[in-house]
Amino acid sequence: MRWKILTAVVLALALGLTGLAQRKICLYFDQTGPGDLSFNDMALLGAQLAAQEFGLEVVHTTASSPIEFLSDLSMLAESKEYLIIIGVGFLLFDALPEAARLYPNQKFGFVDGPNFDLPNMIGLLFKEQEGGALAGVVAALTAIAYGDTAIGAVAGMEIPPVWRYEAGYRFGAHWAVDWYKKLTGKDASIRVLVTYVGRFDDPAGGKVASEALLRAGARNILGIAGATHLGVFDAAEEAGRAAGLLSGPPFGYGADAAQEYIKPGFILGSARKRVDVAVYEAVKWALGKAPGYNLVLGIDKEGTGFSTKEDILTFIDLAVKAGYPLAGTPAEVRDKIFAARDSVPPFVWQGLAEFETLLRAGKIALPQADTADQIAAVRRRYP
Amino acid sequence: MRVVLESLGALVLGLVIGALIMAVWGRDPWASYRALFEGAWGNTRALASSVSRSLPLVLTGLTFAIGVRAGLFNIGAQGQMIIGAIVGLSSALLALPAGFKLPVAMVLSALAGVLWALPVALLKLLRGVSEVISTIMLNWVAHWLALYLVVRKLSDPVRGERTFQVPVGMRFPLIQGELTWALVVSLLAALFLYWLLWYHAKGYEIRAAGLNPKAATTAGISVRRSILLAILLGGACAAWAGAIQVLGRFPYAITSDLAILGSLGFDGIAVALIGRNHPLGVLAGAFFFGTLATGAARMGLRGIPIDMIQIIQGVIVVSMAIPEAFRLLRVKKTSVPTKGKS
Repeated sequence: MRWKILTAVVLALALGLTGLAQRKICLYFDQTGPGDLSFNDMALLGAQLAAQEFGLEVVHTTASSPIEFLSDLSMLAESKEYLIIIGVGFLLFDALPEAARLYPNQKFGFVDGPNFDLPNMIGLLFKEQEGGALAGVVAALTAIAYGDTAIGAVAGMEIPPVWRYEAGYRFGAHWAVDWYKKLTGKDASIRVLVTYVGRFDDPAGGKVASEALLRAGARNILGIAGATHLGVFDAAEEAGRAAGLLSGPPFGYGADAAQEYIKPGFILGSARKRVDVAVYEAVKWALGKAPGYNLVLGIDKEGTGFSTKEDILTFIDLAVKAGYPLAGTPAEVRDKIFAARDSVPPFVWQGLAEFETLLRAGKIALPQADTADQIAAVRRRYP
Repeated sequence: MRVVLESLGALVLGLVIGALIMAVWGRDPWASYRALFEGAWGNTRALASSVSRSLPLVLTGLTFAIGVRAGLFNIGAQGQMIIGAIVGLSSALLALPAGFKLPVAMVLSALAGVLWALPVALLKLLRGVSEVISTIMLNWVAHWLALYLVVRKLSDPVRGERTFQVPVGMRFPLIQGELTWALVVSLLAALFLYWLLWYHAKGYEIRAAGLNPKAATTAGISVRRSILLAILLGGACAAWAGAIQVLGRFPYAITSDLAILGSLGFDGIAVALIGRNHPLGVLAGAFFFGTLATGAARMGLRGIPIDMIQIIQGVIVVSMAIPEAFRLLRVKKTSVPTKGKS
């Protein structure tokens, strides 16, 4: 009995002490906020997982405009309520390091940006070019299989993370054409058409851009534009339905999350970018004492990739839990997605597997695209 | 006094409607409003942010207000503001001695605003084109021109999402937190227009022309000159709004979707209406607007989605603008002489 009381007292003390410490994770979104079924929702997911595991709480808020970035971040930091403030989105590139310098005792995380050598900030970067390249291989081989000569992409803003996706996508498409020639001895040619909508929160604009790409003969379109590229999926499904099809081509391709469940049958795959893993790692870092650093997630750490069947199932589950209105029962949705995957010729998946093996073995050097000059060079080299 | 009471009544009404919206969606209005005002006024840093946020709105508000005083419905502040921001930023490219950069940038940007407003005045005075039409069109010209320049000519080579930053020596110096000495620009502009409109003959002529152009003409006042002056002064004010947003507020650059300039020009209309089209009222209206914008994020932490925050902001602003909007409509009705019947 005495022991029990003693443990209870010790536990209460421990809880009390940790209660004094900061128990909240704060996510600050640069645009749109949760609900994009992609980048932002992935960040929230990672924070929730970390919160569950470490007994923390998640709060989040979204910038109403970039005019407010610095004052919002200052407001969050000066409250001293948060274990870590994680800025979600590259657009915080100026404001986040400024805030981290102003509030050296507050820990910050930056999804899509570096840590600027600041001890109180963790940079969360991705090798987007890897996921982009894998999607490029699949899109190009699928296009070849159905006799197309172009593939497309609908991009958000001209910023490095999107450039890296685009560069990989272009590289992957050209690699696929060469590989196809080696496999079959037949020539093929694929042009890569990329449209920048200029925003991450404009699904209608994404749809218009996709319709133009479809008219130009690109029936495989990668979305790398956050909520904007939800319009890619709408356009693909609509064009397919109009042609009396229950499954693509036309195919959209998702980004960041495994987005196949959004329009089952018309999304062939997704370029993964595990924003959730990054955010989880950032929280773990904040709980420790290590100084800030740059965490770079690539395929070697399963931070990027092409959506697997397990990914697809995980995200159908998540969609159900989040109350997303699926087009049918989860089993129906799953079957439709897998049926679409099985409907394209096996050489597409053979090419993907071969590319992935080479990539994991470090035998493929993907082009750099961190600056405007670099992406311009990539665009010239891989048209 | 009556005017102030009316505005306060409108504010209460707006807050109540906003509270109802939150209550209907199951949020706690009291806690949310507390968060809003804490976020905007809670400490020196927050207050500085709110004031800093309101500075360009003072200037675009003045643009609309002086237009109304001259009998105009001038909604060109948005375009003139954008042009002012672009010229202010581009001035950094001129090779000037360090101390001169900021003043030259401000002068050039004001000139650009005047030039951008000039066609509006000329079209109205020489061809009878409504300023509503010409300003709407010029706003879009400015928008697309700026978008082209920002993306193609002024963009930072390693940062596609924004232009280069204004060099440190060319920025308005900081006072506190985000607040810079751009404060003086907005305050002086408001005080100057107040003095002009109420203590100078030219201002008296502008107001007379606005109240009743026919009576003014009969009294020997040149209505045309008053209109010209009101439009050009408005252009200079709006251009300064853009200039101080870029030269006087972090991140000292223009984002490539122009979001950093937002709708400062259009918001100026609401600011002027809240401030009863009086230069000093505009100061209050802008501060109120800055408060709502700065406090929004803290409201977001209370679980209120960004869209609902914007709806609530809109409701409050609209209800505060209603008394003056009604007055304008009433004045318009009575001042236009009706033919026939009577």
